[in-house]
Amino acid sequence: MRKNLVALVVAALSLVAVADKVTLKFATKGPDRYADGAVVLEGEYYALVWVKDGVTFKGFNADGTLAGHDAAEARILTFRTSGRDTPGRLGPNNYQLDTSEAERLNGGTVKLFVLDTRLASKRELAGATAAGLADSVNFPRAVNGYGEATSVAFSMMGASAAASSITFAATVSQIPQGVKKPVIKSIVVKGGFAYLTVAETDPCLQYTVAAGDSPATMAQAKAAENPQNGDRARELLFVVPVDDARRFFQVNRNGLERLAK
Amino acid sequence: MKLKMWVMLLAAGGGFALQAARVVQSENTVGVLRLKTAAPRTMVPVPFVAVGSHATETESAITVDRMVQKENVAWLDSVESWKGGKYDIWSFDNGAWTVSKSGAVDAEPPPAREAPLAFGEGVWFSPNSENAGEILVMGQLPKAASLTTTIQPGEQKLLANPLPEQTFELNRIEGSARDTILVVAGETTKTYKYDETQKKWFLYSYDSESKKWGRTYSKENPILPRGGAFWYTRATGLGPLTVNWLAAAAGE
Repeated sequence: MRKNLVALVVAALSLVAVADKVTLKFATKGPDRYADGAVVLEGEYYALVWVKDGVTFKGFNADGTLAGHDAAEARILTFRTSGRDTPGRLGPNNYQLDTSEAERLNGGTVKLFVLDTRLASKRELAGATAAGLADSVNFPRAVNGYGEATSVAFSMMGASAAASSITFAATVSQIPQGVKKPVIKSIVVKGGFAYLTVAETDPCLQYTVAAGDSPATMAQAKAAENPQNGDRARELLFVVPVDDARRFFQVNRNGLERLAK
Repeated sequence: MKLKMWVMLLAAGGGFALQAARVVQSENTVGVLRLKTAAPRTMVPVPFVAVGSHATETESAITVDRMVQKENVAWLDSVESWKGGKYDIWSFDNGAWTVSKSGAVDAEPPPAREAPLAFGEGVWFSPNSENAGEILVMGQLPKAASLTTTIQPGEQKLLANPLPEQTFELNRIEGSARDTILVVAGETTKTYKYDETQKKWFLYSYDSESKKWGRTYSKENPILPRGGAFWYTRATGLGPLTVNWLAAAAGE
């Protein structure tokens, strides 16, 4: 798994100046993967984001906008999607901007993020992304999570000569801002099983239950094997065995710990 | 007089056994603990808060009805909680925890589904039969900031170590000279008073030869064992006292 992750987003980035324009070229080598290990679907979004140096990137909102940043701190330069001819990765893309605009991005870093916009309701089918179903592919409608690539030094000095290949490292996907934490509404133990009722779940995320003999030893990886899609309209019911090794249960979102392991 | 009455009540305390479990702060985490009970009374700590309560961060209580698994209890098993200077008692009858009427003089306790048990509080569980049994208690782990129990001025509260895998140093409680701790130790109790100068609790015992009460300082800090319980009497005229269970555990 780790090997796959390291290979997740190997991207090439280069800057080419044409007349008064600066062209940013970027791509990923692939295969890119979601937090749960699945290879990204066709039509998945990638976000090219500029972040001012010294600013800690706060992530994306569920609607695809940046969380808690004004344009002076961070901005989305463009969204692109993986295509049918480049499965599991982002093919070569160009992003062109004026030299003056590019100069305004001095003192910052360009990062490429792989978003997770899979639609929970379609996962049981062949899988679909927001882009795959949307009328317009210009903007993701529901972001479940994202993987951040390592920083790229972005300087307009000598941009025309810049043809530096960079390596992107995968990190654990993060929950978009503004998504509520799940609430365990009840626990009932019957016949060696605990029945957990969970509310406040979001349809763009998956939920799992980790179990252990103490909160410090819960098996997160095991938990990721039986995820349920979030649903705002109803409570989720998890049925988990109770024994000496499984007495504490924690509800997680999107199986993130599986990647972290 | 009231003190002697306590001693008599506490002398009836039964054994406490709890399978090892480290209770630490964690959100969205619920737990199920198996407690062995013995007749006539078993001290049961309240190690959880109500499930689903983390939406209201100040929530630090759970009810008998929600905490004690019904399937493992028998007819007329009972739970006693010390509230307002008297025991509130609920008995298991007809598949539910019901108010155990205590006579015309005392006010009846609230229904089990409404009566709050505070995190860190101690309650007695009394099996109807003399056979040792097993009950399940369950609930949600409180947030770290909520791993405390508060005692109001003039209140006498029965506390039980809610961190069952860890002991608890009494000296971590900064009391006042007028406060009293009675540690439940098997069939007996030990009385502790607080020395504000040394910031230590010392054993306060009666010498039958001199017929006087005296203090004994121990080189060892008084330790509350795992699952151990104690009564805390907060003097009137002082502010509320907060027992921080997590800080005590972290200091081990």
